[in-house]
Order: sequence, then C-alpha cells, then structure tokens
Amino acid sequence: MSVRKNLNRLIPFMARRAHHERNQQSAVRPELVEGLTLKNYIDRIDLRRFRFWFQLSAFVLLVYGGRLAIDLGNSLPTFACGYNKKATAGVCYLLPLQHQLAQPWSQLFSLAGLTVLGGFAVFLLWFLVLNKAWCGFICPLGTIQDWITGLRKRFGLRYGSYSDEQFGKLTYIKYVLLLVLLFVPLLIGGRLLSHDWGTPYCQLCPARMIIPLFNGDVSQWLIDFSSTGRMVLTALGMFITGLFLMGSFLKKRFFCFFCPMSAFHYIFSKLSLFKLKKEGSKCTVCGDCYRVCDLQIKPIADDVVKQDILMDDCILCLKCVAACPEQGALRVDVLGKTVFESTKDGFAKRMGLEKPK
Amino acid sequence: MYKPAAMTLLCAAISIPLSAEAGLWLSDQPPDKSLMRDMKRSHGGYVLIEDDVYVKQLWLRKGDSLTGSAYAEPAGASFSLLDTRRQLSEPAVGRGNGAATIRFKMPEEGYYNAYYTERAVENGVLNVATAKAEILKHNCRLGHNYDRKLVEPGRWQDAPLEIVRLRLPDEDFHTRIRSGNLLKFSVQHQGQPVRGATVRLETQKGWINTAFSDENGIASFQVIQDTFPVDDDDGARFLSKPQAGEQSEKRGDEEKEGRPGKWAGQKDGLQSEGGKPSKWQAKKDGDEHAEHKGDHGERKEDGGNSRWGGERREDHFLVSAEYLSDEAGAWEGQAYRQIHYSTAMTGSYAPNIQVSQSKSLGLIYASAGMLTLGVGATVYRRRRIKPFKEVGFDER
Ligand code: SF4
Ligand code: SF4
Repeated sequence: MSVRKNLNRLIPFMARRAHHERNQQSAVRPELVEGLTLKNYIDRIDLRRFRFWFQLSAFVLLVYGGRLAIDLGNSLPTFACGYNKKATAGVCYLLPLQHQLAQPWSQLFSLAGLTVLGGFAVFLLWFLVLNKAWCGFICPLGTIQDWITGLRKRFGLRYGSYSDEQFGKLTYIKYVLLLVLLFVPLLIGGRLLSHDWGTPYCQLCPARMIIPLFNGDVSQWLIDFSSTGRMVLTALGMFITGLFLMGSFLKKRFFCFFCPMSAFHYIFSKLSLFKLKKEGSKCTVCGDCYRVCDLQIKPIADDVVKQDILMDDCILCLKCVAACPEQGALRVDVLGKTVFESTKDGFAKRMGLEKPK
Repeated sequence: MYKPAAMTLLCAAISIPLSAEAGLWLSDQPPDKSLMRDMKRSHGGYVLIEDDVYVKQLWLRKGDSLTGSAYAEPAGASFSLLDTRRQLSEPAVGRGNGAATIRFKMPEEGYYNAYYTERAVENGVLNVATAKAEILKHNCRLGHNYDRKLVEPGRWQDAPLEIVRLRLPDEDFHTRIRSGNLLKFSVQHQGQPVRGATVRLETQKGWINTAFSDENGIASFQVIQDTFPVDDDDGARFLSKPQAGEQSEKRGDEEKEGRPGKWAGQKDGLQSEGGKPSKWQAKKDGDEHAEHKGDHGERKEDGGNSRWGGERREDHFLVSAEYLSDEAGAWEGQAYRQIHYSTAMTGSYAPNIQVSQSKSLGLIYASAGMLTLGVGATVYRRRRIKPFKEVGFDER
C-alpha cells in the first residue's frame, strides 16, 4: 500500500498532465474508426447492454436450466445454488466441497479422498476459462444485485460507498468466511464438531434463500431449531438475507465484497488465461474507472505500476475498461491476445460524444 | 387396473381368521455385529463397497416385530431381484452366521427390490411368505439430475403378495419419510391390487396399527410423532464425555453412528386412514428388549451422543400384509385347501422437521437484518450531513 502511495506521489502531477495532452494529440487514428474490424466493433461495444443480456441469459440457464435436463455438473465456480433443487442447471462448487471436506479423516486422507481433488480439478478448469468474469457476467446472485441496483436507480436514490478505512477492514470478511467454509467441515470430519454444523457457509449464504424463490420455492426461508448448530446457522442465514436485500439496494454489488467464492477465485486467478491488464504509462489517473467500479477498487485508477491489475474484490465486469477514455490504458487479454481494450473511439461512442454523420 | 375376477377371489379372504404364522422379513443388520465394521452408511442403509460398487447384504428374520425377531435359516426358498431397470434375476440364497442371507450388487442409481419367498404346507394350508426389501442406491457424487422415473417403486409381476410403498408428493432420492407423513401402501398379488388384506405397521418402539386395503388395494398410515431429540440434545453434545456403553460404537466407522439416544414417545400420532380404524396397542416395555436387543434397538445404548444432528435421526418400522385365499391344490406332493399369503418389508422414518422449524421467526430475522442495515445506513448518512449554521455579523 505505502509503496504504491509513495510511487504515486513521486509521479509529479504535471508530468501526468503533459502525458495526457500528448495522448490527446495523437488521439483518434482515422484507420481505427473507419476500418470496422471485429476488434474495432468489440472495442466500441455498448457494454451495459451486452452485459444485461448476457447476465439474463446466464441467469435463465442456471436458475431454470435443470427443468430442461441441463446439467453442468457439481463444480461450477459460481452461485448456481444447489438448494434450487428442482431447476438448477448445475451446482455451486462450495456445496459439494463442504460435503467432501466433512468426510471422516480416515476417508478424506486415504485414496477415497482423491475424489475431492477430482471435483476441484473440474472447478479449476471451469474457472480458468473465464476467471472472475464468472462473477461479473454469470453469477445469478450477482445478477440479482445488479437488478436491485437498477431498482434503486428508478427510485432516484443515491448509492452508498465505503470510506477507505471501512473498505480496508471489510475486505477481510470474505477470507474469514472462506476459512469457516474450509475448516468447519474438516473439524466435523475429525469428529470435533457435530454434523449439525455441516455445510456452514451454505447455511449463511443468501443465495440459498433467494435463488429458489425464482422457482416459487420458499422452503429455505426458516429457522431450524432441531439443534444448536442448525439454529445458529439458519438464524444467521436469515439475518444475512435481510442484510443482502437491503444492502444491495443501498450499495452496488453489496454482497460480492463479502463473498468467499470471490476470495477462493482470487487464489487461482493468476493461473487464468483471461486477464485484466493495465498499461500504466497510458493512464492519466483521471479516475473514471474507479468511479464506475461497483466494488470501489482504487488501484484500478491509481496504480500505474502493476500490469496485472485484477484485484481480489474485482468481478471482472469490465465496466472500467469501457469507461476509460485513454487508448489502450486498460485491456482484456485472453491467451495473451487483446480482445477488448479502452479506446478513445469506444469511449466517445459510449458517452454519446460522436459527431453526427 | 383392477380385475373383478381377482377381486371376488380375494374378497373371500376378509372374514377368515388369519393364521398365526410369524412373518418373514429382511434386515440389513447382520447377526454378527462385527460384520458391520466394514460397512458404510449410505442413502439406502448400510452397504459394503467393493471395487467402488455398492453391495447390499440382507439377512432373513422371522417374527412380527423389528426388535423381537430371530434370524432364520433358509428353507425351500427362492430369491428374486428386481433391478433399477425392472429386470428380474434369481440369484442364489446364501447362508451365513446362522441365517439365510442374500447379497447383491447395486451398480446403478435407483431402487433395487429383493424378494425372498418360502412355501410350505401346514395343516392343509399353503403358506407363501415373501420377505421384501426395497433398497435405494444413491450417491450424491453422481449428481442429482437423475431421471425422476427412477424414484417410482418397482413391482414384481409374479409376486405372491407384495407391498408397494407409493411415493410421497415430490419425492426424490433425498426425501425421508417423516412423522406426520401419510404413508400409502398398495397391496398386490401378481401385479393386481388386493382388497381387504390386513396391513399392519409396527414401529421400532412397538407401536402397532392395522388397516385393511381398500378397493384399490391401498392402506394408509399416518406416521407417528415419536422421534424427538432430547432436551440436552444440542450441537455440543458430541463434545461431551462419552458415556458407558458408547465406546464400542465409536471404534467403528464414523459413518455408522446413525442412530440416536433417548426418544420421547407420543401415543396419538399414527392413525390409520381408509379401512377400519383400530386402536394403538402399545407393547409393554419389556417386549422391546426381547431376544435380539441391539439390532434395530441398538440406539438405546449410545446415550444420545450421536454425531448426527436431529435432522439425521431416524427410527424404523415394519409393515406387513396377509390374506387367505380359498385356492386348493398341491405343493410338493402335499394337498392344501387354502393359501395363506404374507409379506413384510421395513422402512425408516425421521422426525418431522416442521415441528422444529419456524418460518415466521425466519421472516422476523430477515426483516431485522433489513431494518438494521436500512436504519443504520440512513442514520449514518444523516450524521454526515453538517447542519447549516447561520453566521450572524454585527452590521452596526
Ligand atoms: S476493477 Fe473493473 S472489472 Fe473489476 S469490478 Fe471494478 S469495474 Fe469491474
Ligand atoms: S479510466 Fe482509469 S485506467 Fe483509464 S485513464 Fe482514467 S484512471 Fe487510468
């Protein structure tokens, strides 16, 4: 943190300014605007509309696909909630993972434990293809939050944001949840805890309550008093569901900030072939990307050193790339090839700044 | 569906007093408990796993109750197995630890039905006793997008007498029969419904109810409310000191400790539906500890220290059906005037989760969550707005 701050202080404001002006002059290269290549087309895309339809399709596929016998397996790196029993098209990896880790140790640490690795390998393969774009483009719970944000906009209410200090503290919650998710089942397997504490994260996760609702299933909306473990977990789960509903109304992508799946993703995100890159020399630190970021990720704007700019909270929604006015400052690379980048032209189009023809 | 001819034949049975011959049934608890050490608890009860395939072994028991039935030797028996694809085979009946035993592999997901049939003539009556077991093979690792048709019960077209448990609404491989559920059994003879058969359901604790099958061959029972966790049954109980008699349980595979400790019984749960109602007959306490204490009744000794929560607890029942038919003939050279058909199968049931769940409290907690954050955020935002302060200047 402090290194980054110091570095930023070291870059004199005037130098940045000059750099920006130079960029402005070399600005719109005519061949980029006129030759309508595929790349050009993608760079000019209306990301908001594209995301809306992509997310809607993914939502329908995951939340209703099971009714059409679509089965994407048990290791999806996104909240295709397994409690949406009748209709889910696959199962969120966190559910089988917690089950598997709760096996008796004698089994878990034997050859039979290899099935855990098998499930994990499938999870990793799915994940590596899209990296955290699973969150920004596919996760049904993320999509629901975006819809709730849309609702707030209609009410004309302003959104909330965290102060730097709050951000710094809250960002660790997802790692705590990840530890709970991994270690509580292990304690159960080691006979140190009762099975009443089984699948602890699922009991807390608002997706368990909210996603089945889209199939008219309210069976998860309750508190289970059959044992202390169940009671504590389900009561917390209901409370968190309340927080989720209000939170996503007040703050964009409220829950993603606390999501252990996001933390789990981040551990492996360096391995992915799908990358969010920043070219610090082209950035003018105008802060546009930071302002559009639902997750309030500051380094996206003020870090001009790091190339691999994907942060742990990032959901790879690519809003920052679409909002950046500088040619090539932010870009998405797949297998080392740039598929989408910030361009002056795309920025102008999205902002409605293009001259009428 | 229902053939009038068969009906006339079978109706004749109703008023005839039934024979006192003890029934046969199949148990998945071996006579020698040490055999259970290699077994794993699965969705279909205890199984052995050989080369990654579930193998089920069942032992023959003779008697009318779960706790008081002795293990029985094979006698003039045949064994039929109906697999998940409704294919019938006739594996051999084995003998082990002083009991008839049958063993089969369950490679596919779905229900396997095992039928063990004995025939013998006694006092001019041919006794045809069929012990049935309906065993589910389901492994969560194989996913849950299985064909829902696999949940439907299989039937043996040539069954002398068969009890078919009709499925609960929306039943799937994870559905458990629970206190309060209405259980429906269809009694069938060679695939045809049998009217007026006596159907008897006895729970592990000895609560008994009887009903008669109606014109569609169906007898219904509401499952008794008798499985409740004890007061001190909380998540921490597993951390408490093991009690005497529990130690041996703990040595085995962890997965085996499926059954709980103390239970509270209630008299008024099980009512028969359809057919003539009958009163509960509670057996005397002593009966429970009949000769084979320790099999289905083993839970008595594990002191409430099961590591499975209230949700996992279960108890068993035995459902049996019988009827007499005026069919004359000869079996193995012995003439008979009547045939006494009987059949029995076991099942398990769990506590009614609804009694320990609260939807309204759930909603209150969710609302509390919303309010806390809503009010909190509003107050926080308000406090950050600095109130306007008028600054007065002395203009004189
Ligand atoms: S950094 Fe960019 S891609 Fe990541 S969440 Fe923020 S706006 Fe979306
Ligand atoms: S939008 Fe972000 S990346 Fe682009 S120039 Fe501004 S601060 Fe730099």
